[in-house]
Amino acid sequence: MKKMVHLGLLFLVLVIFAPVCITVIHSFMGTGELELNIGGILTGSAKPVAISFLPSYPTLKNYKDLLLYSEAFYRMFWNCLIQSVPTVIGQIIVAAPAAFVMAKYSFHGKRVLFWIYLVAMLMPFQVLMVSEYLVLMKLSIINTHLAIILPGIFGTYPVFILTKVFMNIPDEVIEAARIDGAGSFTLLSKIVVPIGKGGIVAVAVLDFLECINSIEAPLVFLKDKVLHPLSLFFPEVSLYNAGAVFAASVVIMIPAVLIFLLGDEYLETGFQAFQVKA
Amino acid sequence: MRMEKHKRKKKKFRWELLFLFPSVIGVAVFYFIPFCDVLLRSFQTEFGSGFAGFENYKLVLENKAFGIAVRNTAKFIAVYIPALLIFSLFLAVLLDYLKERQKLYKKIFLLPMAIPVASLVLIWKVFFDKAGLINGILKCFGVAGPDYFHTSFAFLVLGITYLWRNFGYDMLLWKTGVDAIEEEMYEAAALDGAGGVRRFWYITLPQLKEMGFVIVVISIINSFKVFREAYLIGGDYPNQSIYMLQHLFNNWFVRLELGKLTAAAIMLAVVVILFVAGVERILTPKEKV
Repeated sequence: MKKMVHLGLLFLVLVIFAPVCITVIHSFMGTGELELNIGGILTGSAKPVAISFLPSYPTLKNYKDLLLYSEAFYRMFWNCLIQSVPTVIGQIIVAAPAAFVMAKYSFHGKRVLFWIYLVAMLMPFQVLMVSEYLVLMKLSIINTHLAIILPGIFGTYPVFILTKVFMNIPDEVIEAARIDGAGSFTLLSKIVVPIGKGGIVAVAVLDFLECINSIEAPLVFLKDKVLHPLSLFFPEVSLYNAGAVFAASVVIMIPAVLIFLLGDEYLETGFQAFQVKA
Repeated sequence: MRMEKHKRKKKKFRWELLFLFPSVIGVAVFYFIPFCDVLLRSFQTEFGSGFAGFENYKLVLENKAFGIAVRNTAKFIAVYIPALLIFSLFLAVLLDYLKERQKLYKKIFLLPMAIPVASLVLIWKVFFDKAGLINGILKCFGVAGPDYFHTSFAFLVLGITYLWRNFGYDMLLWKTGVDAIEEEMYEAAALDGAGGVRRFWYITLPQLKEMGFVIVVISIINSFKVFREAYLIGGDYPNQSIYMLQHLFNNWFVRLELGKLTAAAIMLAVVVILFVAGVERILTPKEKV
């Protein structure tokens, strides 16, 4: 029985890895081999796709083309970092204190405030698009990196999750620290943040993945193509650049997967926060 | 004495509210004020500031593209969110039953979440093109596959992409919930002669209510994000079956049809709010408010 289950799960593993592996394999193929394999879908002829599991003549040409000659790609990669790193850091700095108060203090209007946060978190980007555009214009940061970074920093998703994380810190711990004379700031920086570290890293990882995947906001708020991040890199694919596009797909994956692998230990502790103990 | 203590507590608590300040200001500027602005605009004529009453709303409801987009979006949510929830819960229970190699599976199943949308575009073509890999496999079984991107099968491709990307995440959340259930409850039930199915139905499921709420909320957020895949696959005007509300909103934005856009946005917002309220009421245990 257990063997059957493993077999089933193994199939799922295959389904997950297949697209990734095929992308990586094709990124090492030369134009000739690509044409042989997937020429049919690139040129529109009905020739069916044939997949080989190893490139017959592995080449780094695609990567060389991409990294050395494609200035646009390089710029977009850089834009992606400029826009995502400050967003993630800012989000944590803003969200952690707010979540601490939400989790551990009661005040008038807390329920209402939490509701507003929850609804803001759920609103699809397009609902607020027009007015947010106007706000950004008023702040004269439309069409700059800040147009992506600032609204991102105040996203309410991190507050929502961190509130759940901090709620799991026992009240006694906080009470004890307060009796020892810890002020609110010390309490936050020396007690709450270290205990909730797992959750915070989890949020940062999720945020980062979200940032490097953002499409809607850059598309609307950045008219200038020079500012576009990597998530908007989707060139017209032809036989001649297919290899480079595969290579680009791989390069785009690398930072995301790296961050994910570094943080996934914490993702789990972060998730445990959702389980409110009875 | 009591009074004094009370006062002191109150004073302290006010100071700590400052922690909320940056976040609240930001949310006000980037979410709350824009929302009010959208609300106001939805009742105004397109370019002036004249009061239009419900004219915009009427225009939206009569709009044919709106009908299509609403139907597609609702269908997507109605089909794929339950599918995702059930499939990922099933996997979580399976993993719980396995007890071995859980960590490895979890890690692997989470991986699709980290694959950027832009990386998927070309490879999805390789898989789902008319002459692509899937149809090649189908052909071996003598089935002539469809053209996935340019027929209503696009809806299926989008759904598969959504499931592929999110099942690991949801499974992990369910698993965390399952892990938190105390072993004694199962033992007690087993002593009473309850079988696996009954135990799942009467112990596991009720204990997962709170987690269920969180997972539903996250799954909805993520379902709005499949627009990204749809956009990258099909551009501004994809196959009609995956023409979502977001496409329509974007196109209205480009054409500066702000009256319709804001009216539709408010309607969508109301639905989202009602939905959250409903789900929360159903899933949150009564005694905890």
